[in-house]
Amino acid sequence: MSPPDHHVKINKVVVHPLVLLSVVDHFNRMGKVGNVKRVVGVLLGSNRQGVLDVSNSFAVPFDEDDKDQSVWFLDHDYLEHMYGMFKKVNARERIVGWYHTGPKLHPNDIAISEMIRRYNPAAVLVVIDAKPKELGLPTEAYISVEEVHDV
Amino acid sequence: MDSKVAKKTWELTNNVETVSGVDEIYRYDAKQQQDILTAKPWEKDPHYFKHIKVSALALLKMVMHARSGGNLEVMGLLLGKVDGNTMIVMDGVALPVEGTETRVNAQAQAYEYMAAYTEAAKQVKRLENAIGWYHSHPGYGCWLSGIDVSTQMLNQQFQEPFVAIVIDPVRTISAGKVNIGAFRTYPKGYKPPDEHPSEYQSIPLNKIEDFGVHCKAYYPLDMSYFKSAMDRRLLESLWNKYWVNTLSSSSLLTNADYTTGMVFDLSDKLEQSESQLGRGGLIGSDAQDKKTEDKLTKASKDGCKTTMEVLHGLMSQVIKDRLFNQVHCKNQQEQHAIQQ
Repeated sequence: MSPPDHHVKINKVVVHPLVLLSVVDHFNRMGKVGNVKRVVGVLLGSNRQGVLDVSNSFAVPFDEDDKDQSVWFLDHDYLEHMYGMFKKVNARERIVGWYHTGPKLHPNDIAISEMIRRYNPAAVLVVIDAKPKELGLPTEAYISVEEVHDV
Repeated sequence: MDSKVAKKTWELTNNVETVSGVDEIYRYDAKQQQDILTAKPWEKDPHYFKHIKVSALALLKMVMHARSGGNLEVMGLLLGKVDGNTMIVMDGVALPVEGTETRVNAQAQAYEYMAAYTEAAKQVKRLENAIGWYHSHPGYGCWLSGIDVSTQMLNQQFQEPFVAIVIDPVRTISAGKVNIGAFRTYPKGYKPPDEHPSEYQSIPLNKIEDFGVHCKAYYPLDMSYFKSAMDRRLLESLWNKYWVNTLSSSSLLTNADYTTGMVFDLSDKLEQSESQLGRGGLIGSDAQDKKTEDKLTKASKDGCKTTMEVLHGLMSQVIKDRLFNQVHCKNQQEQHAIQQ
C-alpha cells in the first residue's frame, strides 16, 4: 500500500485551524510575556497531488542557546514516541514537516529541517506567528531547496 | 499623579499588554491542585460539580475527532483541572479504541495509551491531569447509555474527579450549533432531588429504551467555553478570511442523509403510536391513552425540529440568491436603461 502521491512536488500548503489553535495554546503554556522564546513542534498530515494537507500537530521539547545559535536540542525519542501514539489513532497522518512560532526565520532552522527530513524528505517548515500584528493569516510555509553556488 | 502618568507612558512605549483575567485560567497551580485532590470535597456531595468550562482548543479537537469518525463512535481523554465546583477542560486527546457500545469498560484498552500520553504531555508543559473522557453519539443525541453510565460510575469511584462528555457531530452540523453535553453520574442508590426536566432532545426509536432506563442516574453540568486572547485574535483573522466559505455552504446538502434518517425515524414512531392507539381502542384503558398522547406530542416536536432545520436551509438559500444573484440582474437592467 504505497502512500498517495508521496513524492509529488508540493506547491500548496493547507493548514487546518486545529493546528493553529494547538500551536497558539502551546505558545501560551510555555510563553513568558515579553520573552520571545519560540516553541517547536511537528506537523502531521498528508500530501494529495501536490497539495499538502496539514491536519494535526504536536509539540516537542526544544531548547536552544540564546547566545550561540548553532546550539540547539530537540528530543527525537519524544518525537518518535508521540508520532507512534498519534499513528495508532489515525494511521493516514504522517509527519509532513515542522513548525515554530518565529516570528521570523532563524539561522538554525536549516539544521533543524535536516533532522526532520529524516522522517520525511519533503518536510516543510511553517512559521506560525502566535501574536500576529497585521491583518491576514499568521502562517508562512517554507521548503528547503538546494542551491549550488558558483563561487 | 505623576507616577500614574509615568506608568501610562511606560506602558505605551513598551507595548505592555495587560494579561486579562481570561488568561489566568491557563496557569496551572500544582500546589492548589494537590490541595484540592487531597481534600476531595466531591465525596460528600454527589451534586458537587455544577459547572464545566471547556477551552476552545479542547472543543475543536473533540468536534473534529467526532466528525472524523463518521457514523462510528469515537472516544478520547480529557485533560484539565478543578476550581471550586467548576471542572475545567483544557485539552482533549483521541484514543485508539474501537468504537463499539457493547463492552462494559471500553477504556481498559486505552489505559496504557492514556498514561503514556499524560506523561509525555508534561514534557511540553501540559501539566494538567486526566479530568474526564469524551465519546460521540453520531446522530442520536447527547445522553449516557447504560454502558456509559456503568463506565462513568466506575470512573467516579476510582479516578475522581472525572466527567463524561458526549458529543453528537451529526446534529452539530445540521443544527449549526455544537451538540454537546457534560454529565456526572450519581452514586448507586442515591435518590436525586426531583429536578426540572432537562432540555428536550429527540431520541431515535431504537435507542429510546436505553435512554429512558438510565436517564435518572446522572445529571448534566452547565457548560461554558473560554479562549485566550491569542485564540481570539487567531479566530478573528481566520474568520475575516474565510467568511465567504461559510456563507456559501448549504446545510441542506451536507445534512441530506441525516434529515432522511430523521424522517424515517419519525415515520417509525408514528406507526408505533398508531398501532398502540388501535390496541387502546379495544382495551380502553386510560393509562395507555395517556402514554400514546405523550408519544404523539414528542413525535410532533421531533417533526417540528426537522422541519425547522430544513426550512432554515431553504431560507438561507433563497436569501443568498436574492442578495447576490438579483443584484447583478438589477445592474444589468439599469445598464440597459442607461444605454437606451
